[in-house]
Amino acid sequence: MVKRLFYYWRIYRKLTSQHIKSRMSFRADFLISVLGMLALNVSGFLSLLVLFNTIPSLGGWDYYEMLFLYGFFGLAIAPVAILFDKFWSLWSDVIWGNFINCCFKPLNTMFYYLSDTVDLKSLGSLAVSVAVFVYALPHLRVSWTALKVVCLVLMYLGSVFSFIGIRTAVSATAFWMGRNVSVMNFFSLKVEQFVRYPLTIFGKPFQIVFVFVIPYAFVAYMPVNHLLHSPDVSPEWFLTPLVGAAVFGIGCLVWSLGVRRYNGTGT
Amino acid sequence: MRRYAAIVRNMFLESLNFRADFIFMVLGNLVGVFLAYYLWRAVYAGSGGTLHGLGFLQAFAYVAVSGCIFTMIETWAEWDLAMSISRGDIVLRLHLPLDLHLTTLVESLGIFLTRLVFTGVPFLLLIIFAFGVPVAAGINLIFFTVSLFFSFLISFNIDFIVGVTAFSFESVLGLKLIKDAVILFLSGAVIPLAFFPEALRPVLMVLPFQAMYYTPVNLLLGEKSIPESVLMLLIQAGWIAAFMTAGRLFHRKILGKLTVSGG
Repeated sequence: MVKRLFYYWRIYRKLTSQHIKSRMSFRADFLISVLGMLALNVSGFLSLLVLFNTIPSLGGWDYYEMLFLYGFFGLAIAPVAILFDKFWSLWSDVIWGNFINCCFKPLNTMFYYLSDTVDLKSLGSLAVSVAVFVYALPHLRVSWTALKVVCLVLMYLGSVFSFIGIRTAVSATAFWMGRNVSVMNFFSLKVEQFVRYPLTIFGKPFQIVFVFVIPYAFVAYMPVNHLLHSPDVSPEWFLTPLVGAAVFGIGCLVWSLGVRRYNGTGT
Repeated sequence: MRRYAAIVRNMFLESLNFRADFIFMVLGNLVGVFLAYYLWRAVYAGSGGTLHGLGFLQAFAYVAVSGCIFTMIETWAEWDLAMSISRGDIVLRLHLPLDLHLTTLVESLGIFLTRLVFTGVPFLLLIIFAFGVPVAAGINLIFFTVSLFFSFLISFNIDFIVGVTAFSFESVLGLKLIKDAVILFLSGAVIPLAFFPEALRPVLMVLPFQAMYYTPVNLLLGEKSIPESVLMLLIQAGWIAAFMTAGRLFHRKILGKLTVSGG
């Protein structure tokens, strides 16, 4: 098992370093893309700043709590944005038949498919998220204990895996429908905009969907709400890691169903 | 003229071709409208009814209609142009007896018209009737329609400039991200301009971005007198002229440096 992991890690490092080298040969492109992601995230932060210039709180969350949620969300989606970027081109690899390469390797298909691409421009988003998170952290009214820190890390992992699971399932729709850019955009540009706000400000139907159907609530709201608004660690806190594991499992299941359905283009 | 009309028609039909794309775009807009509704309802929850002179429905209208306008005028013209340049098939287009600026413009126009008919108008009706945004029914509707086209033209000409930069360096996606973030934030499409600090507002009103979102929504709500409305349209026209001239000059200058692989 451990040997296998090392094997995967060695392959990953090789493929990824090739990709990074090829990206880095376009220095200007890299810099401007990072600036683009910075601009996108800074404008999100500035919007909150302008908004909280007028109102003291949003749905009961004050400025720093809101920023903390915003930063936590950014951190929770960063691994997907940086390491799972190739999901965006899955549809074209399915249509043009390139995906068949992944089926011929003695490796996990999802691992091999994702391992030759790293989205360096999302480092720009990550930087802003870290900055916002660190900026908000000392202003929170949380009585920190060692247990809470451990739980926060656990919940963070749960959030990351929830998000990986959701994105995997959404991307895998390409195996059935081919061109799925609109589906990806629908989730990434529209639905995921809900997640950076306190869940309670939305209508009941939306809340139900985000908890039980597509568990976006566990990507940021649930863990941050537990940390900020419950006095002590309670069993509820451990729901996020559990949901993370379950959603990740479902995502992988959808992926492998899709791969099984895929049979190349005959070339 | 006939040649360009054919392109408009083709793009109109082509963008209708991907039905799933279309359905999810409509769903996405619906989600966007709801997001704006709930978010601004929460913002106004603790207020006495108006913030910075805007009522809840007005603030909601600014954000929701702006979102609607964004989906209509974002035609990815800069992206298509840049792809065509980096693939090299821009040469084929340059060989045609058509003007590159005009061809790209009418292609975008085709996409804009599809969006206008199939998502723009239905969503505007939804925002106005289902959510009860107070829209005066009068000459302001004509002003709004004109200014919507003007917004498209400003947006397209900015896109054209961004797309043409791909002739000299390949980072159009990055530039697009910066451009969209700056425009959406500074035009009042995300947060109505009234919410910005007093000191900043005159600066924002001088920038071209407010002409793309603030102007059409303001005209739709019909809060300005007729001379004021006409002035706002003239300002939009001024920005179109400025960006168009800049784009065409830039395009001509940069075309001299063009090299294409395997040409």
